[in-house]
Amino acid sequence: MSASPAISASRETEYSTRADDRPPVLQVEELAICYGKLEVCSDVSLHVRRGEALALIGESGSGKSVTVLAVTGLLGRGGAVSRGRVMLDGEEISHLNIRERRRRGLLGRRIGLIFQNPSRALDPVFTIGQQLNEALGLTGLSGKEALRRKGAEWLRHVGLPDPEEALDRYPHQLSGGQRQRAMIAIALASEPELLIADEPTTALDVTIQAQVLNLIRRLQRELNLALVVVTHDFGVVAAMADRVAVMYAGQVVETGTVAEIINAPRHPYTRALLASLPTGEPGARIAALPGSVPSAVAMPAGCRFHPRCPMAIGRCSREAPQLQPAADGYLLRCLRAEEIARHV
Amino acid sequence: MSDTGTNLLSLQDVSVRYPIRRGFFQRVVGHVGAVERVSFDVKRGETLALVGESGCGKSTLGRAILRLEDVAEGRISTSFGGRSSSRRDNARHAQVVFQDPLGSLDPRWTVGDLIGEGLDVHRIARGAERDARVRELLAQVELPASAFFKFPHQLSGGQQQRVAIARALALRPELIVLDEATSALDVSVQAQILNLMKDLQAEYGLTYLFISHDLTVVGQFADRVAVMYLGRIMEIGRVEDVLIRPRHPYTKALLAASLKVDPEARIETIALLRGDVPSPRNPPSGCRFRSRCPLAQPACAELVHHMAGKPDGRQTAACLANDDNYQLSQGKTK
Repeated sequence: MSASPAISASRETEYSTRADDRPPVLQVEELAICYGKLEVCSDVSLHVRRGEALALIGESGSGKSVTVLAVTGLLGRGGAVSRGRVMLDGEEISHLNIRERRRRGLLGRRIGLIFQNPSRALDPVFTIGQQLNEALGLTGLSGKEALRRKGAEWLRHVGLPDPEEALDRYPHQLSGGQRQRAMIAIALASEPELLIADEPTTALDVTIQAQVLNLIRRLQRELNLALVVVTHDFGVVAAMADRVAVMYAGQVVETGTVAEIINAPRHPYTRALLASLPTGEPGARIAALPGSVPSAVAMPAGCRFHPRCPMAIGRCSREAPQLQPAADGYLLRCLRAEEIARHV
Repeated sequence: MSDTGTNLLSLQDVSVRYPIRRGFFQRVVGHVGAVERVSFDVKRGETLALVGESGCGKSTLGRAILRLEDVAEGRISTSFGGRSSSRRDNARHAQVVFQDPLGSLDPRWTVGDLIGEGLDVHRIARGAERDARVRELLAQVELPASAFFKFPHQLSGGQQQRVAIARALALRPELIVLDEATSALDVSVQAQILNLMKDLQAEYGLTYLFISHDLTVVGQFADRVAVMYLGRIMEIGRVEDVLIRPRHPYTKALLAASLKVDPEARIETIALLRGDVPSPRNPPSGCRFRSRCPLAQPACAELVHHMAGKPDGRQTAACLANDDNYQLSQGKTK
């Protein structure tokens, strides 16, 4: 597929001269989020650069979705960032109100969002074209003809058949995979620098999932976006991510490259999670991790994973570990990190 | 009841159709073939998995076996203990666990009543005897006895699914249909539930019909697998044959598209199928997979669906790309 004119020339040159010393597009530092008195997310640190894909993985209740909501300013009633910072292009954005966010283009323009359920994220009473125009309008484009041309171009870019016709379709007239493609087109039409995909393919069939993930990855490369994929599926992580942040009970417990996390996980939680995946080996028993993710109301003291941890020692129930680099610069939240590092 | 030897369940050319209704009077204007001429046997104590994408008819087939759907053509014969064939008697021997535990448990009933409902309905046990049975079931699914007086919303997702399993076990069924029973659970909880179901199967000689879209789970949990596409079985056989040496192009495509937990298996390297699953209202003629098949040829439109068997019980749907499977020169036309 030819590169869309939506990609400005400057972006392409930036891609070729990508350097790791530039500030990350998104940087989250020691973020804590409260709903009322309840702390649902306590210590999240992550960053993602241009052209890089970060996977945020965790079980339900680990705080991965609420982190995304905090970044996008969609925490809703009662939700607030209580500690830490969210930086977009080096600019602190976590305490801005809705009006200020809109003025700075943080709602829709600079951050693109893809949700799990396209039928709920798309407005059923507007056509795909009308919803695309809203996103295109944020880039300053106007004029019926120009909007239509650009809209059709985006729909062609995401691989929708008959893009001209699809512009006049309502969401319910498209199949699940097509709706997800339309939503990707809308998310990207405002030319964001950061794309957040929250469980983008969980509701889709395997063959459609592969198509949609391939599309997201291709567009991310072509447009040189910073991509955050939120998922609970290690298959998606392995297929999409450059780097991985593993979350447990509202904290990031381990970050590393995708090969490090999957081939040589260090944190006992990551290890147990990977071990509990079915291997597809007939008849084999799965090494199940006992218990379940604690709720925010009854968070264990000390290390939050210690009640389920096979490596827990007495200290783990008293001291809360910090996310810190082990001897070789690997980020890990574990009191026994040094011992683990020696055994890798 | 037919005599099927060690077969617990036997399907012969089973079709299930849903009416399409239109207009003010909801007149029936046609039918959607959700399941088309499906035949297979399930042996006592084995796990047969049904896999396929949404709309392939795997859940409809499960519902037909539970007699929650009427069979339009063909026959489902069972060799359960009882002789009567009323739906109520069928329910004693064939139970089901659905995907969403909270959706299948009445929010206003306590766990004890939910598990004991079947015992009440079938007048198996009453009063203290019933409560004792329920507590026994709670222990079997590894739930604390204190769960007896709790409501479903007070339990975690994994615990709710355990209640649903206890409910299904209460009547000592022979067959349990697991309709995406672990799909909504987190991986660590899924592993616990799969292990629990394996243990229960070994203990009570249960037969499972495991409906799933996750090929890795199926590979580990099931003995045999049937791959379905648009209402038809494309391939059926032992798990180690079908999932490791797939023969039909659809099985191959499905396996290629499922993501592996391997950082080398990047999305760019995955072969993609084009398009969506066609609507079952208007399926392609001939081989139903031909509209998406990478090996499709014009003659596929004329192909008559039939299963070609091998002595090891493995069957593959006729496919022009696998011409050693059957006679190309048969020239069957519609």
